[in-house]
Amino acid sequence: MKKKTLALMTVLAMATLAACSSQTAAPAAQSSAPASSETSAQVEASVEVEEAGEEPEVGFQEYPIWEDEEVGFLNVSGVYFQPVPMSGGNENYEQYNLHFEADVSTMENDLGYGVGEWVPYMTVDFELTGKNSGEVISGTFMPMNADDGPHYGANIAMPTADTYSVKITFNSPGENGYLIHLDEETGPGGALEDYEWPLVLELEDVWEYEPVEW
Amino acid sequence: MLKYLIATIETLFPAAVLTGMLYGCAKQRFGEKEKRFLRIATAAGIVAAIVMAYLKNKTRLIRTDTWNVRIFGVSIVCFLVFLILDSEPFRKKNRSIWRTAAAFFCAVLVFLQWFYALPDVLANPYTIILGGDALFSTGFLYRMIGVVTGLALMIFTCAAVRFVAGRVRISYAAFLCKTAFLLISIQQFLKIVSILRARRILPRGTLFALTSFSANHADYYIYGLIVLTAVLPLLLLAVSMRISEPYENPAQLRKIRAGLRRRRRWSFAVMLCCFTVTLFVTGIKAYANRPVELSAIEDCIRDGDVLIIPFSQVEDGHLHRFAYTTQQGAAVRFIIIKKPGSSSYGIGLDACDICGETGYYERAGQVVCNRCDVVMNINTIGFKGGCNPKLIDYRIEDGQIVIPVETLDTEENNRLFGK
Repeated sequence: MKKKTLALMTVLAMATLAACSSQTAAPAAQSSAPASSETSAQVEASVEVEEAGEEPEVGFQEYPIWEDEEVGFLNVSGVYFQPVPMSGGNENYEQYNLHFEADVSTMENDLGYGVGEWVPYMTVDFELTGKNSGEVISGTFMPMNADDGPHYGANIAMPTADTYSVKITFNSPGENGYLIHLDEETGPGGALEDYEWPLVLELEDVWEYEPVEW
Repeated sequence: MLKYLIATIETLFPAAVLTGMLYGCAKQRFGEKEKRFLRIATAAGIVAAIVMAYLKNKTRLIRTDTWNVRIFGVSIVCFLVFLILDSEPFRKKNRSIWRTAAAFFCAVLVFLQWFYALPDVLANPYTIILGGDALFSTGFLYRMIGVVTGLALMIFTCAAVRFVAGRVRISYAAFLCKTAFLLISIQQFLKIVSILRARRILPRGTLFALTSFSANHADYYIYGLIVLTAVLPLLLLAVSMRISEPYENPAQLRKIRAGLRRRRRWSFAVMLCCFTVTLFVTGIKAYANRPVELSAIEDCIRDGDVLIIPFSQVEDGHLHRFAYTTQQGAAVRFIIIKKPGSSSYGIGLDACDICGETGYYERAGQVVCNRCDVVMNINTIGFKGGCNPKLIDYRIEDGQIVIPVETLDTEENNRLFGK
């Protein structure tokens, strides 16, 4: 009898909590819609968040930091989520509290990249500066793949809640040996040298960050 | 080990003391039937936590932040309802229905405490292995000793608080218990705001000053709970030092004395737990997280455009650190270590692509990254990639390591080392 009661209570409790999901998500959808006096890209982003909320098989939440900032021929969005083990000796992630990621895609360009493609071979440095703490967190992103494709990212330790400014420096793929055809017949028409490298994206006070329980 | 012990204590301490306090109050206020709710809720919370630990780590079904919003939301509501049901007007009615209802909400609170806190602790064996430690390795063993010790300490704390709270005057115990829940409910409310704002459900800036203060001072909640818990044994000790009950014969006197001794022992046990937890979340935590001081930079010979390090200086198998100041003024550090069982040397920058110029240090014959604590395979130092030191050019000549300054003087190194 006791076992039955225990099992019943466990199932009931978990079901009750699970049932709260729709109640939590519904106002979310409502409240994000009228607040979207921002750009259409931001609206799209919130729609994506809502859609993701209804998708049970995706087990982690990407938190957006900024969307669709343009620098040179690059479109850059920033997100973060839980720190992750990565291959190549980067399995240990216990010292980190988030995975910071720059999603880079190309806009119209004459370098031969298709619109919306990822750009490999760049060295991408990041620098985060806390407004109140003055704390500076910097490093170099690593190129990597997640289940949503390739990106530049890094596990980082960010223990302090603060408003952070973000600076991302994109160094030319040419520095790492990436080449562009230059001839009229096969070349895309442009060269990496046509751009003023490094491309620097600076966003002031863009990230209201607080440590998250993953 | 210490870090895992401290993390386990910090995670489970609120659940342990709040459960203990609720059990203690329930002992005095509820009947046997209602008290059974709490026991069932505790067991259900543990079972649900096991299920959650599995789902969270082995499936993609669980979004922790969404579940935390649910848990915190339900917990706050249950606490408020409990406050109403346990208020004077309801208690005066002395109807069993209200008592049963109050006990039910108490039980839900107990369930939620363990359901929230326990999954991450239970998932430790899995996450430690995922982090690169093999099941049968010293690293895994030490970390698990930390987790199990923390778990045992918290179970004991819960039992001790339960005993003491069950014997302190009910009005005092209930007040301390409600204050403790209020403290945790405030933290939970601010966490809900933080999650909803990060997900852009709440507008940017909503209560950010408050939530960021709460997040940056999360230790304060633990300190608050320690203080509230420590008051319980003081209250019990105050009435357990002298015999105040009447007795009719020596046997009754011995029984009363034994009861008082027991109360004093459990009171001291709670105080000891509070002291131990305080020690771990303050001094020992600071010690465990202390920055490692890198070994001193050694001198090397500068000869024109090269730096020269004789084998005799670095052939002892230990990590040696050198530095070169670039034209831009950046002190670019590099390391050299002779590989075990080999005549070759591992040579690279004192920095890697992931952790930057944080550096490496030697711990028990191993080379460890100063930031991420990754233990390097000494034999792969000098190979490209991952947490390995960034490569630099060098050549071996006449029993010496010769490093061209050009390899250190690059723009990338200037950036990496701060110029």
